[in-house]
Amino acid sequence: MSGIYVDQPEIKQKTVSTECAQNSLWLVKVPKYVAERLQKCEVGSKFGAIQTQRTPAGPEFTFEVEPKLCEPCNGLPACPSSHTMKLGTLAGVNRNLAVYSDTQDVINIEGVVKTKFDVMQRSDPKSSLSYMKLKRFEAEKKMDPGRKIVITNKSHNNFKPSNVSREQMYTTKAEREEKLRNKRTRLDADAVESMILRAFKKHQYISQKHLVAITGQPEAYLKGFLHKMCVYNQKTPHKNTWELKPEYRYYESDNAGPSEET
Amino acid sequence: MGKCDNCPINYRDFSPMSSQLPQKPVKVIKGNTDDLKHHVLRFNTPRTVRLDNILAENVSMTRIVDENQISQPEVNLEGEGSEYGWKSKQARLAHKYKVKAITEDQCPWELKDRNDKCYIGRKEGGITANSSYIVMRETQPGVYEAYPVEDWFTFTPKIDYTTFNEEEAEEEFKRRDKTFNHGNLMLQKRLRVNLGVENEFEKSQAQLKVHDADDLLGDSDDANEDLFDDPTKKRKKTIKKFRKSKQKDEEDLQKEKDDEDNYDAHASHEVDYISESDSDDSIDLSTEKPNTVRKGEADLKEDGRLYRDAQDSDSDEEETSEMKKLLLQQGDDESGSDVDENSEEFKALMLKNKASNDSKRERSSTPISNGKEPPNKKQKVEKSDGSILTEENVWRYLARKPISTKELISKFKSKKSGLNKQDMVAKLSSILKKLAKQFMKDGKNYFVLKDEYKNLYKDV
Repeated sequence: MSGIYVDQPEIKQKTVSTECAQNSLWLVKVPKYVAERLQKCEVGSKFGAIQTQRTPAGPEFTFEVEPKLCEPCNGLPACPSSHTMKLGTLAGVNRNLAVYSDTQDVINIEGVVKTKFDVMQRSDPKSSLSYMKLKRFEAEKKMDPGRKIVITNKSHNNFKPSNVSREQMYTTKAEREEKLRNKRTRLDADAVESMILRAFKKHQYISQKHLVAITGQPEAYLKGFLHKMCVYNQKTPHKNTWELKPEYRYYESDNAGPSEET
Repeated sequence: MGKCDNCPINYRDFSPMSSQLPQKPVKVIKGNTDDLKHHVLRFNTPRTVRLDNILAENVSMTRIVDENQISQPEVNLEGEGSEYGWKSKQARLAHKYKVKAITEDQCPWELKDRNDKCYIGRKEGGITANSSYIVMRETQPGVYEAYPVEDWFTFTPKIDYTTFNEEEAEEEFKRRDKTFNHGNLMLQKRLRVNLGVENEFEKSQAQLKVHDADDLLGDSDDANEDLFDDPTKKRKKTIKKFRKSKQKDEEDLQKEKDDEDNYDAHASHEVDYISESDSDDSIDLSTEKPNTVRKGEADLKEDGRLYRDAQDSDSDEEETSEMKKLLLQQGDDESGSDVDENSEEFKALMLKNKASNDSKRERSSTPISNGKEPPNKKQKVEKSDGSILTEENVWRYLARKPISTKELISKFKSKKSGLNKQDMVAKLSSILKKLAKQFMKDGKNYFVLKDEYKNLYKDV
């Protein structure tokens, strides 16, 4: 970032709301394709269901993604619907987890993570088959190169013939007319000099291109004045810019300098 | 989720251990995620924190913007030094070199809780690289809302100090043992001498029958050495030996003497240790309360206590009260280390040790061999009246600092009050009842002097 200035957007101070901070939440680790299905799911509609079974070894949880969402669409293949939900541990650095939501003006502390689950693909044949198909699709997609060789019989033209000029192509008619109307005409010397001085009062260094635009004078005519009144900077930091000669210079911070003359 | 009206106040803590598992299938619907993103805060603190304490009222979260990262205009935008069209030129360059402004997401969080404790939350990379997370929250019984998690932030306590690098730490470590206020130290030393500490020392010396400072030092060294070796092992050996010696008569001892000659270098250490404890005792008993000696002895006893602690695990006494347990341990120890009960045997042992001579051993046993008679006599006398456990002595311990029951007992245990355990406890408790009041600290009983007894023996 050195040397180049970037306009910085202002970072807003947000208020924190802790009304819901006592809520207990679940943090569920899911496979990526399940997260994709959630993105696709409409707000407020059913995403899935959790079923509990009691077994001698303890409770077992099953997570069913809504079958409608598991169908292939938008280039996504079908995915398994039924998943096991394993109870994870909240230990080590994971033991102190909270969730906040970020809106335009407010940060909401949504609650504390009390339970963690890991959603995993099932090992039964039906789910496995579906899962393997999904993985195959992903692998094939990854191997697909972006560009392909196509053999053509005809030669292909890069340009197309047209009856408009390049200028006409890139400018509007109004612009072209405006340019004709403001054709640069030579003003008398005093007016040009005062224009130059006014411009240099605002900024110390101005490039020739900009001076032409400011004064609206033909470049060759303007150059005569510039050579008379200004010096040309050929070195950095203000390379290729014009600057008033010291005897013409007057800036507010530089009171000791010579006053403006015409 | 942004609206808190939806939040159930009495949430059901859905933990697998709880008996109330949901009977019906739980419905999961997608929550409202319109312009609302969910992030995880992870508190990575050395100690466990209570999140409900941190994320309570008056918590503030601000983005830290690094001033160095924000590019400042290098020239004036108007007037002297300004360049026409400078800003647009910079924008063009930024576009060309793909320089971007800092976005809000890149800045770390600064979280301040209501006690102004500060945490810095940095965005965690990799967690969501290969896995995704969903947050679920119960809105109605049996209905959960799911929200995708966007980012993880790890919060660590903010530190205000800088840490040393390796070289700096090395430099500081070198200065560890240096004395900088040398003048002050010397002055204090001189003052102490003037106040007559030296005289007192001489007085106590005069009361001693036998005192070989060199010897004492050597012994304490030995004790330390023992500590650093395997204390329990050696301790056991000594105890074993003494138990044996109690059981056996003179002839057996004679026989054992031959075995003793085969003992390795450790054996000599043992004997040193024993002789040390004995010589100490003789000093202690012969003088009622010599300040300086007792100090040194206290140090030794400290070592002894450590010793005993190490050994505590070995002794298997089952007693209900802590006091009794302590006392029993003490009794056990006494039978091992302190030889006052049957000084005859001890004498014999010492003689035997002398016989199996090496120079070092001889030196260490000299005090005993010289003053063989007097210490033994004294011991017998002490045994009968138990005058060590006096009100004054208890007062002295209490006057220094609050002292726990265990410590107090260990002090007097080592003094060989000659009393029965029960008697000793009874006597001690009666004294304590008079002098001290007790208070609890860290689950231990401590005794401190009552105000009216604070100056009881001060001028004695």
